[in-house]
Amino acid sequence: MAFSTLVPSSRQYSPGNWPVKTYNSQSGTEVRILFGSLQFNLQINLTYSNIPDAEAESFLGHYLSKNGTYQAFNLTTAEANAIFGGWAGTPAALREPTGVEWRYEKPPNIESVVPGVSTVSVTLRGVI
Amino acid sequence: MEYFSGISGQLYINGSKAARVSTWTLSANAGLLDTTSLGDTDRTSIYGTRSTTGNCSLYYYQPTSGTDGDASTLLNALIKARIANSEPGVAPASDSVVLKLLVDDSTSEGKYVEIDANLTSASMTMAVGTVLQAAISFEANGAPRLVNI
Repeated sequence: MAFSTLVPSSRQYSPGNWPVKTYNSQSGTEVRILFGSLQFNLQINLTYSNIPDAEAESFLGHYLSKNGTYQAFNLTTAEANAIFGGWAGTPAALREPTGVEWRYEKPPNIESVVPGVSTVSVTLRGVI
Repeated sequence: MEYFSGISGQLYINGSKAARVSTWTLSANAGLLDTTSLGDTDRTSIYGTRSTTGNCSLYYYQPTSGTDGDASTLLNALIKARIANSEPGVAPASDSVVLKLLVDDSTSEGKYVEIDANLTSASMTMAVGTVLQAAISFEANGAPRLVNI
C-alpha cells in the first residue's frame, strides 16, 4: 500500500544528526567522535487538515501495512513530491539522504472534525 | 416586481401568530474548514457546521388587561423562577420554542423559515416616553424545520 500523495496543510522538518559522541574532559575540552557517515533521526511532522475520511483512512491502511512503527519504507517520487509540496528551495535539501528510510514514529492521529471530514497528523522518522 | 417591508412581516410562536412584533432578524452562518495545502497561493475551504441565529422585538402587549401577551410567552420560556427559596441555584430548564419568521407575499403560505429555537437572551427596558418592548435573541436548535424563503 502506498503513502498518500496529498499535499499536507503544514509540515515540520528536522534534518536529524550524524552519530556523534561528545566527551568533555575535566579541563573542559570537548572531544567529538564521528561514528558514521550518514545522518539519521530525521523527522517530519505532517498535518493534513480537513480531508475526506476516505483519504484519512488511507493513512491508517499504510500504517497497518507497515506493521505500525516496525517496517521502514522508501518514498516514491510522487509521494515525496507531495510530502514536500510547497518547498521552493532545492528539492534535495529536504529529501532523505541515500541509505535513509522512513518509518512511523508513532501511530497517525485522526481527529474527526465534522461528519465525513478529518484532520490527520503523521510523524515520520528517518532511520538507517 | 414586488418589494416587502415591515407591513409584510409576521412572527409565529409555537404555531400562533404573534400580535405586536416590532422587528425580527434572521441570520444564517456557515463555518468554513480550511483546506489550504502547502504550495497553494489562495485559501481553499469546505463547509463545516452551520448555525442559525436571530432576534426579535415584541411590544409588551396584553390583549386584554391582565392577560399574557406574546412577549410574555417568550420571556417565560427563558426566565424561570427558582423551585424553592432555600435553593437559589435550582430552577427549571428554559423552554425551547418553535418560531416561524414569515414574509407575507400574498400567497397562501407566504415565505418563511421555521426553526426550533433556544432563547439565548431576553431584555426589557422601561423608560419614560417609550413603549415597553422585549428584545429576544435566539439560536436554532439544529437545521430549520421548514424553509421556503
